[in-house]
Parts: sequence; structure tokens; C-alpha cells
Amino acid sequence: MLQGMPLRRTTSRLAATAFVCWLCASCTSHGDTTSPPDTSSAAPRTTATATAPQVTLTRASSPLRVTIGQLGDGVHRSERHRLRVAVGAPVAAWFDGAFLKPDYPASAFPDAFSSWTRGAAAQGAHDKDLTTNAALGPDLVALVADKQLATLYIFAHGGITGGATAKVRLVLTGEQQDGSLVHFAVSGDVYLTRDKQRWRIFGYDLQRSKEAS
Amino acid sequence: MTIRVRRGTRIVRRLATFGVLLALLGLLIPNDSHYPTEFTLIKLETAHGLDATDHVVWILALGSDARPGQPYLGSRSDAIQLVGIDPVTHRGVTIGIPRDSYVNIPGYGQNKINAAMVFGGPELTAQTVANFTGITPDYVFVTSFPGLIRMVGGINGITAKVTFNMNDQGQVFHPGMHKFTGVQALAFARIRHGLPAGDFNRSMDQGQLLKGGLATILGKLGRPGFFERALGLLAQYADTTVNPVDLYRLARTVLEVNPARVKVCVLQGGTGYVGAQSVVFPDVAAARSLAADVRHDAKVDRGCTA
Repeated sequence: MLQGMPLRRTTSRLAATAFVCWLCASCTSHGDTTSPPDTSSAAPRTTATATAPQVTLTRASSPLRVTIGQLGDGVHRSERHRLRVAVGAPVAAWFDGAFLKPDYPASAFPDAFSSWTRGAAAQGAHDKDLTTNAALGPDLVALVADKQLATLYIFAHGGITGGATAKVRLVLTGEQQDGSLVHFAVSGDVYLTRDKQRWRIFGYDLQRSKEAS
Repeated sequence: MTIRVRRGTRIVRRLATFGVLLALLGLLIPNDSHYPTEFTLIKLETAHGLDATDHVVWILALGSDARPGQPYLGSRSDAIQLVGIDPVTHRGVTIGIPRDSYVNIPGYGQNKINAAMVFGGPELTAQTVANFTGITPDYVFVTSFPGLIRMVGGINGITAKVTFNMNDQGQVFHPGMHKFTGVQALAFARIRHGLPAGDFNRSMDQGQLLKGGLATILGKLGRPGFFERALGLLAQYADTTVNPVDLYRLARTVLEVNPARVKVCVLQGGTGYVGAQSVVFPDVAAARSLAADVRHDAKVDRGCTA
């Protein structure tokens, strides 16, 4: 329905989505990537019960790939790996807690915002249908990540890092209780800053969309 | 017979026209049974959040008039703008203070407000503004002429509103939205000759430049890395004691503003002389009234311009 939704905004969102898709696709061709340790488990998360249907979605999730899109002023290139791990860690923790680690069916995501600041977590909980898998969780028996991407744009002044934007894209396939598959993606920006050496998410600008199978 | 032929020809023509119309309608009106889907319109769910302060952030933006070789923190402030941003309501306000405003500078007595930078740097200027208006700035940013030129140039120009025809020292601007280069932005912020209300109009133009700068940056935020690059320029060309972490969060907070909800205000007053000095005698009561109105919500109920 167009009603109630400005066409220009829709068009720009479509364009933005296409741009993010292109961006993430191009990121994978960069050699400068890393996968933070301890991302989602290899097998999809399910809860087996006597009455549960047979789960067919058993492939492993794609690991998170973190790329540096821009290094801040004065940050030495030798810091790239450390920053990928340090700034990528809260993104990995969010992806895991909010989507990948819960046992499905799931209606609670207690670890979703463990890497968010308190204020951001409160707002994220309010937007839980987008910032977590709350909307689909109760209907799923399994969930895998087809893509987990984060490209980091870091701000620094005089070699001291201050914050970063992570352009993220998480493409997921879920198996519903009736055996059908659902494909969707969460993409956009998360804003990170640090408290001493610990980076945390303090803002977000995200969108969720259905994906073609 | 001839008539029949003509009638027959007319009927054929009408049928042909009707056929063409049907064919066109067939092309234009989709038919689910045989037209494949070639366009997709989907609704995206979106969400935005920021862990920001829930009160108005007040920033005192100062432009130093230091000439090459002069310390810009010890020179007079050529532009004095008090900027309030409410990250919750997305409102904003710029309050321009004419540089010749004759006010009390704590510890130095009555003087032009721009002298506070010479006497005590940004801190004393902030204290003077706070005493004068009743609003204590949370942050003070100071930049120089070259700094402004480089910052504007670094983000490939700023688009801002020009109110009056201006023609001064080779720079010509006409009313309407104008895209400024760095050099043009500096000229626009400084020209006062030929303006109907001189320094008051100039102060308004400075506010428009700030508002235009916010709008320009917001318009480019979709470009990957733009925000971090722009903030890097600000950190490079502005003098601030704010550490990079707080600067990043502050900048994200400021960009919560909706430029369409930013009002540009200028403190009013009369002009006159103190000795040989041309000064502005500010309407202190009006200044405090405006400050009281906007202090907690950056919302202007009357006056000021969009």
C-alpha cells in the first residue's frame, strides 16, 4: 500500500537497501576482513521435544565478516586487526543474542542487548520486532545466518579512537513449525563508542526486509 | 451513394479509433492473468534510536577573527552563536549575538562581548554569554577563518539560505538557497556592509550558515564514512578540549536535529557609541526572555526565522 507512506521515502529506502546490498557485496571482495572469535554456533539453534517437527534446516551459519571501511585520523594500520576484533565484538554479541543463539521457538531474547549501552538497550527493547527476532521467534524451530557482514567506519582524532559506524547486514533463513522456510534481513547502521577499551552499541538506524528465497 | 461511402468510411474510422483505444488500454491496464510481475513495491520496517541526553544540548560556536600569525584563542570573536539542540524533539535554535554587543564581561566590566575572547579565551566568553542570557553552554567550539574555509571545503560546500542581495569584495549572493564554497561561506558569514540591519543581519546569516551546515551534513549521512570524515575535519580545524569519545557522541546527538525544525534567532538591541566605539546596546530583557523560552526545549514560540 502506498497510502500513508510517502513514495519518495519508499523509493529512497529501496535505493538505500540496494546500495547497502551492493556495498556489502563489495565488502566481501576486500581482503581486509576478519571473523571475531566465538560467533554463532555452527549448527542452527533448535529445541528438540517429543512433539517437535523434524528440523530440516541444519546447515551451519555463515560466520560474521568484519571489514574496515575507513580508519580514523592518526590510527596506524597495524591497529586494524585489533579494531576489527574490538569493534566487531559488540556487533557479534548482538547478532548472536538477538537472533542466532536463542533456542527456537523463542519468545525471549535476554542476551540481545548485552553489548549495548543502557539507554540504547532500552530503546532497542522498545523496537524489539526489528532489533531482535521477537516477531518470528515463537513460530520458528531453527534459524541460520546466510550472511553476517559488518563494515566499520571509525572516527579518531590524533590516533585516539572515539566512535564508529558499523554498516551491518544480517541475512537469515528460519524454518517455521510447518516446515516452510522464511528469509529476511536486518540491515543498516549501528553506532558504537567505547568506555575505555570496551566498545558498545549506543545507537541504531536499522531496517528489516523480506528476502527472496 | 457518396454519402453512404462517407458514412461507411466514418464508421470504419471510428471502429479503428476504438480498436486503438482498446489496444492502448490493454497496454496500460495490468491484467493479472497474463502480465508478469516486473515491479516490486515493498514496505520496509525501520527503527532508529540513540542513547543521547534527554535535555537540550547548548553549544557556543565562536569564530575567531585572528589574522595569520595571531593566536586565534586570544583574538576577538567575530561570530558568536549559541546553538541549542533537543535530541528528543529534534528541534534546534541558533541565537546570534552581535559581536559589538556592549555587555558586562565578568572581571573586566562593560565592554564589547567579542573582547571576552581576548581577556579570557573561550571560557570567559562562555561565562559572559551565560551571565548575559541565562543559558550556560555545555560546550564551546572555536574555529578560525582558515578553519571554516577548510571545514566547508572538506564536505564539498554548504547550502544555506541567503536573505538579502549581497555584493562585497567580489562576492555576490542573491536571495534564495545558495551553495557556498569555503571561501564564499566565510565571506557570507562576514559581510555586513549593505545589509539593512548591518550586524544584526550578519548574525542571522551566520545562524543560517550553521543551519545549512547541519542540513548539508544530514543530507550526506547515507554515504558510508561521511559522518566520520566530517567529524574528523571538525576535530582538525576546531579547537576543543572534548575527547574523541565525547565528541563522537555529541556529534551524533547534534545530528538528531531536524533542520526543518531549526529556528534562527538574533538578539536585538539599539546601536550607538561609547566614546569613539560603535556598539550595540542589547535588549537584555528580551534576550533573557528568549533564553528562558528556549532553554529547556529549544522551541521558539514567536519571532526568529526558519
